[in-house]
Amino acid sequence: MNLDANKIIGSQKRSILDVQNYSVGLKRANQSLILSVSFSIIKGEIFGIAGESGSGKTLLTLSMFGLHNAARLEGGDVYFDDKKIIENGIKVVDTKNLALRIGFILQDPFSSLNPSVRIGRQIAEAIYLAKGKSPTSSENCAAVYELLSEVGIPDPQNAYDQYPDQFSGGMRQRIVIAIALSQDPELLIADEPTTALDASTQRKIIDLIVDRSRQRGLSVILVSHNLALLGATVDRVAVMKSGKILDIFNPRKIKSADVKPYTKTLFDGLQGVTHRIKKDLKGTHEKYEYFSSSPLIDIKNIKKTFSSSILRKSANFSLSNIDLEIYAGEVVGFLGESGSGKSTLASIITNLIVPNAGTYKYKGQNVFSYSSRQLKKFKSNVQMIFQDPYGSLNPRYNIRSTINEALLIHEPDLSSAAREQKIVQLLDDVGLDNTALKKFPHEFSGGQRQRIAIARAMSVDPEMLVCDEPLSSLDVSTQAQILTLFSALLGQKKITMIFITHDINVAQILCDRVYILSNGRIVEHGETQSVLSNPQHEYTSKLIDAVY
Amino acid sequence: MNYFFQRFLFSILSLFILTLITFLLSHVVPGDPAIVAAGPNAGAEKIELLRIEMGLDKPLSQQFIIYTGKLLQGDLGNSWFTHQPILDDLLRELPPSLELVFIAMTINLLISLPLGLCSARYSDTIFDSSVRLLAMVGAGLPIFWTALILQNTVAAEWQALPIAGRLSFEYRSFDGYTGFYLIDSLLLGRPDIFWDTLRHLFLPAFSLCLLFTAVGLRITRTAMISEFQKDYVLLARTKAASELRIMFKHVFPNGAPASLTVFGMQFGWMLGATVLVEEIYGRPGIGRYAVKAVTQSDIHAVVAVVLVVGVVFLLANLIVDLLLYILNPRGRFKE
Repeated sequence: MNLDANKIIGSQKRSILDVQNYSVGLKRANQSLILSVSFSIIKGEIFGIAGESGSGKTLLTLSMFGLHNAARLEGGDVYFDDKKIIENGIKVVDTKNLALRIGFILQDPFSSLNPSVRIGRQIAEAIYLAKGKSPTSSENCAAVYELLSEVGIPDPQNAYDQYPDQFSGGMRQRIVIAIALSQDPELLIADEPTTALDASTQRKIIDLIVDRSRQRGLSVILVSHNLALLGATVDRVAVMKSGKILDIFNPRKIKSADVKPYTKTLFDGLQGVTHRIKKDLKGTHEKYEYFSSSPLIDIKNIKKTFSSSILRKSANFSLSNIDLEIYAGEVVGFLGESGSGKSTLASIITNLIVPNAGTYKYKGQNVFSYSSRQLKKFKSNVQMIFQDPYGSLNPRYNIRSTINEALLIHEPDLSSAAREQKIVQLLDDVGLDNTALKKFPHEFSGGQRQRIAIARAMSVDPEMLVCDEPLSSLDVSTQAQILTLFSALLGQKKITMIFITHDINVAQILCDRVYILSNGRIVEHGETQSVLSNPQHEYTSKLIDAVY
Repeated sequence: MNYFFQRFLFSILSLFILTLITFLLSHVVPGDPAIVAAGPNAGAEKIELLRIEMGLDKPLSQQFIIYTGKLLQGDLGNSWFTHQPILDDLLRELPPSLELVFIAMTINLLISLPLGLCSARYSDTIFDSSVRLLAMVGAGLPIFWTALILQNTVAAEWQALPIAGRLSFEYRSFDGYTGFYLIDSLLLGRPDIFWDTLRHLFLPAFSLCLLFTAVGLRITRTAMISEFQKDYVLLARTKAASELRIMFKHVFPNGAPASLTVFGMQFGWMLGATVLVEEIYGRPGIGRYAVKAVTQSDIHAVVAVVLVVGVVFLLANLIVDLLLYILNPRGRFKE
């Protein structure tokens, strides 16, 4: 009986990867970044690793297989398929042989394919390295075609000879998956495989990875900061924070799982915030008279075409026939994928670029015929918050000078003491204290930088705030904090806001109305709830379906 | 085709601007060309005659049209001193210089590309630091000084290579069709002369290229480092590709274009710098010719040299750009 039982348990529970007290640091720093981590992955399991950026997820997965150049192994044992690959922090097998048994899917499909090699050849190379079939042989070629069609690339024969630039991000990620599968690996490691992709593509890619692995009986490590995605996909998830694994549990049983408070808040994440903010906003919002007689912003028939260069005249992107009205006090969302024209439209609204045709009235006055004085006033009335809070702050200005500069331009009459007082007040409003004044942008985290950017924008008491994906470069828990801050600002100040996002959850929380953009056109608009609960346009339903 | 056409038009435009500059050059130098040409003892009448003969009495724009028309016919004018057509002089002087630059460029590429690639692969190791240190020292050495030192040690003291000239004394009567001895000797089936030419070329070419190599190496290193940091290198490693394969099959083709652009420009600069080594190694060539022309105030000859160096520079860049276009598949399919 023992024998049989062992056999059954053995076949069910045999682990493909077993990590014991594994620690890693970086060659150039003395500090350890991964601290005595232990976990094991059962054959055929899809295992998630969750955590914010900087928690050590990538370093962990790459360093185990000798693929992280800057990693310094510090201790612990790692077994791959019951064979020791790391003993006491020393690599004991050859990286090359190991690499053949593991498939990798990297974060950014735009840089993970060699730009100057035909994609067929890149897969052929992997097959050649694993199985010795010459890249030009018909056998190899047939294998490539098969893989390409397996990952859903249309017309494999034709695709074989194309270069990565000819494919979209999602298609490129499919090619990377084909490369990973081509060597018949036993373990697939997908490191944030969809972070660089559009929302509507994300789900397809994850489904593809899960599908293929289940079919082949592959074990998968899925690294992601997107908890909703992990929750819907993986069998078990490990939550990492500051180089440690806090909890390992089945995400579908989070309610009953015994997890640390951090894990709890992480998984409550946006949903938790949603409810709180919605409750907060309910009372304050009705004060505004949205539909006062005339709109604050009235845009009619705007067109904008970009040509890529002076010599090549191909118009590769455009906005066409944009009509929109925004009333004072509204929060309006622009939803759409990257390339849909959201940011261009925002730049037109803030008068940073001028359209080819159409009219734009702000408070009934034509923006394009402003005098320079009116333009200055307009620029202080309409403020913008950008996606990348690091890129939008001057790295050589400390926080006091950054905000001071805006004040000096738009409110030159203020005395220096009054300015100082105002700066302190502004920082306080966004949840930062006095010590921030003398610091420089690089000394802050992403979330804090976005707070500073908001303080800078608010410093001139704008009538309107245009936020261009202000959350998308932030971690989930930070996103929730910044969202809370926005909702607090909306409660305190009478302000109109345009919020550009690709995230439907965020739009639901903040926006009164949404405009859905696709390929430079507005395909649908209306009250957020009615648009999202009853989408009329096919594209809108596609966007909604893509959400986890 | 579109791109080739555009690039070609661009070169023609550059050539036109270059011609205009060289033309104006001959008019801004102090002294009346007619007086200079007539010589110190000429009377006013003779000067006036010469002025008409040289077309200097016509308006500037008309002079320019005449000048360009002559250029198009290959007429670079006559030297005021030898009274020979300058074109003949240049056809004689250009091959030795080009030969020198070709060899210097070859040495340059052979050193800077592989060393830059290895230096990038092993960046921040002792190997890389030493290579960078050498490059810094190389970039700091003046060409004429390197040339003198090498001549003094390798050629004079060790007698390992010839000290000066284009060919050894016993081959002094050698002459070929093209003026490029490396080519002529092969055409005539004389490997001994080919070898002799090469031996004479090595020291001047090496001295000439050292400074350029230092620059090329640093540029190659930087370009390759940024390639090594890209994810496709990591993906290749996960495919179990060997480091050699990654270096030569993946990184090099992607990093090389950045350096290639610089090497194209270096070709023209080198031709302009040949004078420094040609003087020291007693080699005929366009550099020496230019110096002689300058010291004799032979303005037509100087202008012609400037023009020819400019044309070679433009040609080298044109070739590099077309090469880049062909090498880069991304450019091709966007047509």
